Amino acid sequence: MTRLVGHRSFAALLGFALLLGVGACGEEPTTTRYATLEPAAPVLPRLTRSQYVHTVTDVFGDDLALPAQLEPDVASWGLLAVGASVATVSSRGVELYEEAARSLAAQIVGKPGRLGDLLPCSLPEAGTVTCTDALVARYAPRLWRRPATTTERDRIVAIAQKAHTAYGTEAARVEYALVALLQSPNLLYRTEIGVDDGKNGPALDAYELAGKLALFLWDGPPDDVLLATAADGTLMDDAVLQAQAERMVADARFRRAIRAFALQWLHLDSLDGLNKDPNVFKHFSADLGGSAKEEALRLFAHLVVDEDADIAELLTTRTAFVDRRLAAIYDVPAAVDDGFGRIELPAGGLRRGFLGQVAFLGAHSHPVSSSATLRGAFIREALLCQQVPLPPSDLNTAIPQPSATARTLKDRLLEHMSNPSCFGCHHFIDPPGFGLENFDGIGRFRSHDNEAPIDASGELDGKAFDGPVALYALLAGSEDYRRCVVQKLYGFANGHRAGQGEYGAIDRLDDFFAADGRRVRALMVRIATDPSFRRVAAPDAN
Amino acid sequence: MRYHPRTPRVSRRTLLRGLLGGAVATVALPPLEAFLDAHGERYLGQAFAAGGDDGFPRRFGLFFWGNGILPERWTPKGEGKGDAWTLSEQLAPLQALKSKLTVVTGTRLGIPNAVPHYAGAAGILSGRPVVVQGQDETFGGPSIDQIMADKLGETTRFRSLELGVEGHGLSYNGPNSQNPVEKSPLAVFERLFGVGFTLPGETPIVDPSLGLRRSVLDAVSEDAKRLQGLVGKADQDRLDAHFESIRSLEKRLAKLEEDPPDLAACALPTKPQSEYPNIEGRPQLALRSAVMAELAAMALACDQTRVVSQWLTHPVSNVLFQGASAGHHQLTHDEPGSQPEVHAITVQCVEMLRDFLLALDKVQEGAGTLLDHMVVLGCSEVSLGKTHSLEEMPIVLAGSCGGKLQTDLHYRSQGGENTSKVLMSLTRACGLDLPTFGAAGGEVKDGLGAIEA
Repeated sequence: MTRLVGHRSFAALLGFALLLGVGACGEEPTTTRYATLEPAAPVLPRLTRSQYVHTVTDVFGDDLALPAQLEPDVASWGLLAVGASVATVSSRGVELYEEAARSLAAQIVGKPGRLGDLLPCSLPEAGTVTCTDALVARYAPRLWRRPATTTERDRIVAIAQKAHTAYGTEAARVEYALVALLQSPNLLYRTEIGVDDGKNGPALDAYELAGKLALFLWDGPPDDVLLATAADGTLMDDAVLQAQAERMVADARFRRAIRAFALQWLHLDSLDGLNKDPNVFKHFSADLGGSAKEEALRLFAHLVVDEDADIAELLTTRTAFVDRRLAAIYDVPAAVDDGFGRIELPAGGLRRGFLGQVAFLGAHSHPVSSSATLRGAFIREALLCQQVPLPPSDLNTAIPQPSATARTLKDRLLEHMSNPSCFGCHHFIDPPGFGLENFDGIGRFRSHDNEAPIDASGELDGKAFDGPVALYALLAGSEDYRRCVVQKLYGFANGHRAGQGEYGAIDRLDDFFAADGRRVRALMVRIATDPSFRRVAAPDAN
Repeated sequence: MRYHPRTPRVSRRTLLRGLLGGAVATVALPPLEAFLDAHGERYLGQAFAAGGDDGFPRRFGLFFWGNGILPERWTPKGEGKGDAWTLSEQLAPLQALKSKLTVVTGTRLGIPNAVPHYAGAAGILSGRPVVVQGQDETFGGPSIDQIMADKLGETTRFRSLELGVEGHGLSYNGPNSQNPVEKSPLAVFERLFGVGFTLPGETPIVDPSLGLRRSVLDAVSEDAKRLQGLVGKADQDRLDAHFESIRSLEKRLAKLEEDPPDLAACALPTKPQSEYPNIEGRPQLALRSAVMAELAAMALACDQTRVVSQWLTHPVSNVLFQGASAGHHQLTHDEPGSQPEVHAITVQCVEMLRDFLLALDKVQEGAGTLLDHMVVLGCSEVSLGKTHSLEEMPIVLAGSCGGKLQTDLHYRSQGGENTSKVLMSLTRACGLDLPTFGAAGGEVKDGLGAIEA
């Protein structure tokens, strides 16, 4: 039932056998240890909302009023970046993209004095075809992540001409050229059409590679430096690719990508709707979810970007970024009166890292109570990449009411598990949640549940733990957690979950990650420069 | 109020043609009574090809809530028409509308209950089994509102409207293609009645942007077509759906340019508040649902759209209802005994359905009301939430869709007919001519004759 990362042991065995085979001959084993890459089929991910927004703001300035609604992102395997490759733009989505393009273009052109900055020519020439050609040539590469073809450019110029005629202004001309650029599928989708060099099989072309790098490492569009390496083709050179990836993770925009990944991996987008019964949880307020989301994003970005820390620290660190609202829940002094300040959680306390945050404890609970089951399921699925079976349809899934023999939630869940049809799944799902029962449904510390003392001991995949701090350490040090980070980042980068043909790449990246101190920044450079990032299979024609 | 078109199509188009190429201009157009019959009640023009017998367009509404009902307290007493049946405890709030209702009980979904709640949602809304993709689920085909929109939404400014009260909707164009819901009443108001909307009798502004927007969409669809030739089969299908939606918007813009809607029952609704904060952690569901209902009614009366879905809550929703001691979903499973709290929540849902229907019924159109010219399907994804049961599916139908459906009827299915039959009847009533509805165990070829008129 526990579909663990099943290929791991197989791959390890295979690697072992190969090592034995080649080691005797004294050959370099590092390249042959890993199963040969069978590239995945090309994907066509739609830009996520944040990628769309960053594309527009990077190119036209961040003082634009952004569309209130855009086609929502969809998660697949827990990641929006993977959902983007399967989600189909809805009929309402088309209306929304059209409204957004018109609103943004009107704002871009409508700013006083802005037209001159936008135009690649002098104002008196603004109405000419030459100028509109140049406009498309300037903006298409950043918006579409490649230059427009002549046909595409001419289509846009024709629309611009028509707008010029209809409204009689150069501004309308530029505005409609932008509307067309912004609404195009060439902006909305990242392609993997690729080229075949005849030696290694199909691979992304230089512009596709640049676009993929930018969306992965910046959550936004390529800049002119990166585009230049695509234009002259040098990005296809391993050393140039490496240098670009390293430049990009050192850039301020890298933080955006890290926040995007944290949002997706840790399911932080659900926090916007966080709701608790304030009669049960006195510390709840309507904006708590927003605070909790920001706290989790700040911690993750701090560890990865500022500290270049071991990813284990996400679960074990005593560093926290809290506002007054969160400080009150954690029962610690806030560092600042307004906004978020950095604090160190008490050394003797039970709260540490992400699993001690409202963003986890509150999100995976009921509106009136904690839930060891919801917390356990999240740890299994998101942090360990294990599959939690679907709940049964036709069973009564109620857990027993509190009784004299089962007062705490843990005792009730254990009683529930005495039913064999419940035991199968719940003995797998619930125990990691037992370790966090010292935190109530909003994340406040408690020593008792229903007036009975809490026993926060449990077992995780054969290893016993006693209390949350032991659980954090157990998870943080586990191979499954480390490997899950690799798998999730791989999915985030590539827009699909690694398939069997890519297990060798996952093994290679995981070994690197383990040897390198589990640092996410270096792993992301490694993912971006791994052959699996640019190689694709021929599209499935069916 | 009367059904009252004021704008002649032909001359308007001619005017527009003349104006394109100049600056924005305003044109006063005289009222036109010529297309009305002697009583001013029957529209004689061609504009509403999908119209019912009295010329008013047919429309479709969906009102959905999550987590089901309690079947024993839901099923009406007695069967048949008029005095032969009385509303049940859970349906009692609908008493004032009884003469316009049909309640269908005893049907079952023919699809397997593969995933709790989502199988039922896909089953009742699309007639198809849920599609499981690893950890994720999607529908195997369009939901009923989008099936209706294919036909009813061809000519209006918006193809369909998806309104969320507390629910994230389940309006699907097809697999992995879900229409987002709008949850802010103010945003809905701005979209429908802000820029781009003209009240009947007001001087319409000829807007050259409509033609330009079509040109852009044309270019955009060329881009989509080019991409289609370069990708694998699954992505071709995704782009095809995208392309179709672009074409659909393009056509609707052309229609607006030619023939903007202009109806007597249309009036500007009250502008909603920007926020409706929770009270004691409980959303103001009834108020927010009623505000959305007013907007939906005017969106239909002003012919901005002919398909509306309102998602009160969604499957597995754990929202705190007024008076409830825990989240709705948690209560359906954990509340012991006869589940009085779950019952009270179901009654609240039905009260909100009532207010939705009353908002539609308040709008006079000719000799009847807007509700008479449409049909509203009220439903949930399971019957008994505790066991995720897909038998005894809860179905309330309101309005006769211009006389095509029975009213004041309790139809109790003997032998558990397929729930898809009800939806098949609805598509017929709305003027669709589908050979089948649903797929696999949910597929049917016929409607439910007893509820059709």
